[in-house]
Amino acid sequence: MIIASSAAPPGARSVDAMAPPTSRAHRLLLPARQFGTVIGLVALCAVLWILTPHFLTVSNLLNVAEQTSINAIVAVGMTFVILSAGIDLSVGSIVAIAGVVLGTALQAGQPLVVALALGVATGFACGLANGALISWGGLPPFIVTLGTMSIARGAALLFTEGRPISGFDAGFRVLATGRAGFVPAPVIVMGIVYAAAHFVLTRTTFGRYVYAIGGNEEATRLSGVPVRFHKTMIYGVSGLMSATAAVILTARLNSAQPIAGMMYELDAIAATVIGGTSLMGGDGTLGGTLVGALIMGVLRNGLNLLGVSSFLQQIVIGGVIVVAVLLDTVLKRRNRT
Amino acid sequence: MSGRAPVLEMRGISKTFPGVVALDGVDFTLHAGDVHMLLGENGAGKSTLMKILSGACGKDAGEIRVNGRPAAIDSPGDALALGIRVIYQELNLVPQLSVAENIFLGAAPTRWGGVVDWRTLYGNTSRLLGDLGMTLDPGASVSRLGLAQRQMVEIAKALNNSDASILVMDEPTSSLTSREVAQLFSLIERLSSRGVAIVYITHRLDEVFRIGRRITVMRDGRHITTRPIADVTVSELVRLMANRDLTEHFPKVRAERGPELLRVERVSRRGALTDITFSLHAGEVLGIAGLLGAGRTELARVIAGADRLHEGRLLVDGREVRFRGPADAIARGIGLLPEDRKAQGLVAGLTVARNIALPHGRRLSRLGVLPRHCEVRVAKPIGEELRVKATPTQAVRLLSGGNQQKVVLGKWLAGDVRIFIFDEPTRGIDVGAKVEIYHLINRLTARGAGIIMISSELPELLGMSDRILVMHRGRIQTEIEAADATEEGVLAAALGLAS
Amino acid sequence: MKKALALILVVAAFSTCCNRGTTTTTTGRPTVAFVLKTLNHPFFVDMRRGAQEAADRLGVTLQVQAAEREIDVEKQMQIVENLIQTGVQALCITPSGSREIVSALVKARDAKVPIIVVDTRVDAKAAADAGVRTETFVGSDNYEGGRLAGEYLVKVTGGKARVGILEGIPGHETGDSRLRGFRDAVKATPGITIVASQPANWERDQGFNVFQNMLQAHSDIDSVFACSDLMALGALEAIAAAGRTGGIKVIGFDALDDAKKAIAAGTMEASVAQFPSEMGRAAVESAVKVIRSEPVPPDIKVRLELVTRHLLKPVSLLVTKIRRAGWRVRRSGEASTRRT
Repeated sequence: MIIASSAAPPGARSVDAMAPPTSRAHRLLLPARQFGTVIGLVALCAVLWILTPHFLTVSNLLNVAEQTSINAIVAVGMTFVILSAGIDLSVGSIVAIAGVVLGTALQAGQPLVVALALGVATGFACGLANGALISWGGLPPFIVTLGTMSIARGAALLFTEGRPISGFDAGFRVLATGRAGFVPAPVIVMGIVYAAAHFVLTRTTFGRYVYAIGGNEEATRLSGVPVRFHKTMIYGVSGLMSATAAVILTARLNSAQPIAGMMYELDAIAATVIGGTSLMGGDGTLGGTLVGALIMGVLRNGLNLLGVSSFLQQIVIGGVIVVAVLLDTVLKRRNRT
Repeated sequence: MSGRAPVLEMRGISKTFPGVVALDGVDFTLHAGDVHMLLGENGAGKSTLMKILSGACGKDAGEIRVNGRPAAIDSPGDALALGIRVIYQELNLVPQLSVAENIFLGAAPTRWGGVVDWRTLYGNTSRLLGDLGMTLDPGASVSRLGLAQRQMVEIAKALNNSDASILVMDEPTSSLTSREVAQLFSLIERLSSRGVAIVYITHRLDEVFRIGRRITVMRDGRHITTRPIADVTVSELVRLMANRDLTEHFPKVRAERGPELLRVERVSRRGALTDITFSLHAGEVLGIAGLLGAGRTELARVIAGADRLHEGRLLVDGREVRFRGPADAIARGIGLLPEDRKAQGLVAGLTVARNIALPHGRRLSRLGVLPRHCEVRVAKPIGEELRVKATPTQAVRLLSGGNQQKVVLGKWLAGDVRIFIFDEPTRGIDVGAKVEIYHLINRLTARGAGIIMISSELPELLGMSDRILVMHRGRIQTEIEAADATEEGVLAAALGLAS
Repeated sequence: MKKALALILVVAAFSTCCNRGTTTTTTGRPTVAFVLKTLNHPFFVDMRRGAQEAADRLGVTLQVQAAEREIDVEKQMQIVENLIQTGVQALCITPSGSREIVSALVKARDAKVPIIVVDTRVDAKAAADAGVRTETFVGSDNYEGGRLAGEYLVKVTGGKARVGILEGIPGHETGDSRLRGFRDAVKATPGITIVASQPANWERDQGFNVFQNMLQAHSDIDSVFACSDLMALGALEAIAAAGRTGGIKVIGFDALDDAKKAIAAGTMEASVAQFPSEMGRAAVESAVKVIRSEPVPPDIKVRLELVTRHLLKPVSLLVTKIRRAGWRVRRSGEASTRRT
């Protein structure tokens, strides 16, 4: 992550006394309220530490990070989409179809690079199709991605006749089983994806337009920003992230399943929202999303370790989502006044 | 009037927000039947005072008495129970429902436990509207009403049960045309004659003298003065509000008229514009007058590439242009300051610098990557030139209306724009900021820019334009040299009376 | 946030040093993990009951976990990873995917946790490729169950039938095996035609809809084989809605209580019964044997049984006998006595 310089740029001639002081570090990575989620994560870890000796071990934390990586990567794309005031329900199905294409290519004996490119391109193309229908077709994102969710899933099932494609060679599986030092490969991929996406979101025109489109699409259009193109690209990014997650998932399970990724959209939305991104668009950070994904991962892991019944787990996870968003809303409200 | 106890007494009201004293021991007294103009620049504390009155925000110190009795106002419900009604700038109506349903929203007469008694509802509505002298169809859908009529509905809603004794109106005319304003004013007269005390917040000084009985000026969270309208003059009022002498209300400086920048030839857009032809020269301010719905904003949007034209053509610097979107228009040096700055001009969550740099992303970036601080570097001198009272890294959301408008202007100053289209540039902003915008217009024309200025404020239009086009029902009704124009003449043309 | 993570890692490093000694055996009893596909299906609820009874009897701690959805291999893998962290001594698992689960089993192998596979087989080749050794398989043969159903259909229809099939989720070993067994059993009989075969994804409402559509397309369908009773029960509703109750022979799988009632009432023909609680019991018993380094057979077959109304008859007779003894069984007996 980028550690931003904290000094406000000079030239503040007459500071409006109404406004709270802002520094770059605050604004970019961790607006004050987001400490709420970080505190939540730390508190959660502390509670689990007290409750079970198995939680706070290096191997378990790496385990959590690895398990979180897939949702966290899908949530990157979801964050882009939600920041632009959209929604993408098709991510899970795109994970499936990208994985299936990748798996088929691998089994057909294509070189690893070609297979990866095909899988990733499939996800990207699905995302672009979503974006094009939304921006040029003028359709609501909810409807378009709901349609794609079904189409991509059906296509994946049709393509494989419903059968999983399994058994890949070690050269590919290293993407899930490999380790750099003690860090599992999926965690490294997650790190690279977050660093790159954070750079795009904070340091490029595209990133700026993501926020601007989410904040006020009409004002952005009237400012001469090619809104349609950028909206299409935003959904493209989401598809790309789903495909990246599909690569890891396929390597992890050593199998590409047409039924993979079901309900991933809800996990990704939950991570994004827990991370403080507003569903109204224009407000949020990737750092928050990562914390949100980690909260969900830690929670699932901890509940497993504690041997909590799987029904109760669902209640706890749902409760945490609501409480996290409630906390965020309360903190935001306090910051406003 | 003076014999009876005042309807409302607010004494020593103080309110502090983190980092700022919004109100500092303010006194405010209101009598029955008064039309009390509450004046002050943006940020003077008027809105905060009224928020405390309406229960929308709590006070730190002070006392409120209603009809001589101490009143505890802790919530909007308390204020309503005391007969205090507030009409906000943003109307709170449900467009899909009828006039009657909106007026009695949540209080519709019912029979058999829950079934709406339509006959009683419409009857009550007709009676209420008749009382208020409004000619509205109770069954009409609000979505089909104009802004002024919606405001009437809002007022009727506020007065739907008879115990309303205090009515607060916050800039009620900011989006109304002259005729609609006249309707509103006669309504205010009627209400005041029935004993309703009215608090009227406005930036339009002409209105103050048309309907005001009494004025209170606030500045920097303090009460400055309260006096009868007869004891004050325009220039004195401006001085009281701004605490500086604005010797010239409209500081128009004529620039040398240069070559033709823009020509609009026989432009039509179905349902909005018919056969519009005019040209704009460098150094010129071309005013466009007209009532709401006359097609002024539609014309601005066509020129700025926001909407397509169906017939006719546009020429910039003598060459024909076809705009597929605002980006094309901006590339040819056309910048639009839209009518509704919140909905169309600004991304409220972004910082001042990022808003100003928004149209210039491609120019500022290298391969899509924005160099560090590049936006702040662009925005800083512009913020200084426009005297935006904020740092470049503040979110625009936190700024006052005038400062927000300056940020929208700043977007076009940062670029290569020579044709500025200002749609209601001074709506809802304070006197000081208005004058600064007028000075900016002078500077722009001196640099050879051409400006199209759309305004519903006739004095402003007459004071700042070189020529005025008057629009009526999508056509250009007439063109007047500003030097020869009178308010009456322009208004008559806008009403479709003169040729 | 980077700092926060770093902090967590540092603290974690410390705590591992301190905790290492205590992680392995927190209690004296050995712990057996049992990972089910899901817990929202009576089949697995029964399996858990059997497993729990065995665990209580044998004095071991049982940790039961399941994914929210039956087909969520990735979630099941996460559960396995997490349970390994708690230092379980044996892992019983009903794989959500025969091949996909191998990656999770690799993790168990690496942690030296012995594996007992229950109900759904692990793909032999995938396991061999990954070097995963499972101690034993406990389950009944789904293929065999499918055959049982097919053979019964041939028998009751006299070798002439137009069959509609409701499949489970495509690509799912359990459903595929049942389907294969059924098809193989009827293949040799020329009078039996499979007119339609569609997935209804194991669900009751989808069973209803899919079969309703089948009836629209092929009104001459006279028999149904559903790969699970939930889908069969959905089909029964669709048949009732079409006013053809009793006119179409429905054979299901799992012998759920509702299905048994329908069979007793004569609206359903038969269902293949498995005995999940026996599976759960046998799995935990095997796990305990493995922990105690006792030998276990590589394959533990749990019986399968075709439940038909003829089989239920003695049950109903028994019920009438018992009736005098208590009121509790009365209700289940009513359906059968009314019929006879």
